[in-house]
Amino acid sequence: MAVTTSSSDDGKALTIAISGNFDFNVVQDFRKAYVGIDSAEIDVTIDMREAEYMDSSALGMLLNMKKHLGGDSADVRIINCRPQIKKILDISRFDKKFKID
Amino acid sequence: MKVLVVDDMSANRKLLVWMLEDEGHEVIEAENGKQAFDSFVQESPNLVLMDVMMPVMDGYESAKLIKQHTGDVHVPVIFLTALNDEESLSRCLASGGDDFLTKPFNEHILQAKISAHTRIQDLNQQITEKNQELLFHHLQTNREHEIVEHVFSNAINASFWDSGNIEYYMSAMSAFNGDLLLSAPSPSGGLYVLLGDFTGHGLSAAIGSLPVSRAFFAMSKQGLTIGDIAEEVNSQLVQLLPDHMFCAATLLELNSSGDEITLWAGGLPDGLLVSCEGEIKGMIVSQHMPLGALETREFERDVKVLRVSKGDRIFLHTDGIIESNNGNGEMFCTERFEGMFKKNCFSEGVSFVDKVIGRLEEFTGGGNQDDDISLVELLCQPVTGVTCVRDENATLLEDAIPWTININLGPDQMRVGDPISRVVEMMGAAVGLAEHKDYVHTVLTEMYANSLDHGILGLDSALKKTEQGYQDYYQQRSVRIAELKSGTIEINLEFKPAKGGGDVFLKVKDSGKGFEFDNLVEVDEEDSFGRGLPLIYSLCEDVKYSDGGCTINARYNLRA
Repeated sequence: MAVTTSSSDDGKALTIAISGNFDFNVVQDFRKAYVGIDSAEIDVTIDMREAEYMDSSALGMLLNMKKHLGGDSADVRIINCRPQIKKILDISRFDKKFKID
Repeated sequence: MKVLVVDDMSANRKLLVWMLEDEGHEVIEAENGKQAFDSFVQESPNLVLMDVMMPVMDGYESAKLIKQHTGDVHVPVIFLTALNDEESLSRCLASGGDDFLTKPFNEHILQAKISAHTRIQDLNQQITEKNQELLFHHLQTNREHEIVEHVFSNAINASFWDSGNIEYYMSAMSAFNGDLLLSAPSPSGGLYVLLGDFTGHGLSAAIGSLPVSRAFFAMSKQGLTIGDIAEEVNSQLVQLLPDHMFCAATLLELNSSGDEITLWAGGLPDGLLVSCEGEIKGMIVSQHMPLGALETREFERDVKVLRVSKGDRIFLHTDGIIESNNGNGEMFCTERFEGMFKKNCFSEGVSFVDKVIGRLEEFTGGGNQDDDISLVELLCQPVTGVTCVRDENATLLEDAIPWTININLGPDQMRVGDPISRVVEMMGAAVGLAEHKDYVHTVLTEMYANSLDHGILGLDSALKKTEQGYQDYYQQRSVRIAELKSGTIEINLEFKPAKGGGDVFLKVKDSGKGFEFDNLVEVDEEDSFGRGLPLIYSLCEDVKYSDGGCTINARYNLRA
């Protein structure tokens, strides 16, 4: 699976892990991973450790998610980015909208 | 046996020769001490029967010379003397003689003494041989240890200590350490650490550190998870180590901003999470069997995640510290160790690791160390100093051969999977291009996506304005591509080497209607579309649309 989710024991943290290519092929799966959660209660983290590559459609998906979860009031962390993915996020100034590790 | 008989009286010699030859010994004769020494050197007898009073050189002097000459090899010298005052007899022994017999002597006693001395000589011979053997093995072992030490230090010294996050103390009880500490940067800018303690001490314990360090460094380079690394190290050790040997270990990863720790703990004493004020905030309790204990299919790879604050410190140690003995059967123990953490125990410029070790040495009073000792402090702060070297690659590129790749894609090729990945794979195989692959991949993907989506499939980005529209867009895209009957996309890559690297010229041309590229608008920060072109502009130079919007050219500089 290119998109897998896991919750912490207390249910307050949701981690969405991406593996392989983060591109338009996972549009549906990625959306399913966060639709319906209560963003006021749950911290969302995107784990990019196994993501090899991302394109501009993935940037769009991340922004859509952020809007869905409440826009500026929702904190979303993106962690474990490889340098090339980090660079794409940097170029697109995603550090303004997300906490990037 | 060859016996040297020394006497100035010919009659005495005759008697001895007769007695000894009767017993089956070979006999040589000498008339005085000087002659005795000369024939000793020449003939190497096994035993000497020596008269005391003789002309030219007496028996004392001769015995001294003979003993000097033989060195470590034991050749008994038995004095035969008519003198029986205490002083003369003790002089016999003092000059190097091994025994004496007073004249006139009894034949049976002489025989008994000869066989007693033969036994001593045999024992002596055996000891000398064993000593030589020991010396040989000792030298060989030393040589082998030197080689093994060299291999070990090379394997383990590949660790990365420049980030300033780690302080450590390690002390082996023998030449080889059964404890192992490794550290490596992760590709995402964080830091991996492994502290392990193999069963036992010395070389047999240390041997496991070779496969562990190899697996650790190879996997950390790929940025794999702590769970992956633990599982791989475990399976290596299960294969290699005998059943009764394993490695208690804690593996952890500190993220690049220094506020999260992922860890796998199996079998080490509890580690500590300590606040910057010195207060113990939490314990790192072992959750698993040690590495190398479970078969791969039974292995548990689940990890714990700790959120930490800036300035927090993690302490890991092997049982050598808490089990250190003060000679009265008392151990340093967990209480003494944890008791060192109190308010303001951390001070600027003073290593806390040194403080603990100082306290430990005070406790043991410099007594014998009976286990390997390791203590590691990990400071939770952003990881710095992680760099990679790229200079070599530039030289490679300068000397590379120029090449071009031309590809024409029809509807069938556009439908299958991911043509861009394949093109980029081809390019990545060229000398010096591998490390630029990902960025070129990004640029080409965006160029290709624009040509395909807008040029060939005629999709409108305006659809993407809403979240639902975003889904619809890609829905429509898959329908249209499935039904596509005509159209081509031409991809052209050209590499030109130059000083410092060179350039890859990228061109994507489609058979669509084109678009009005003059009024491209600035992308809004909130918009979830229109992000492809800015990526191309950031990663490339000389980006240019032509041909009514059907062709895009860009130059990717390999210095970047």
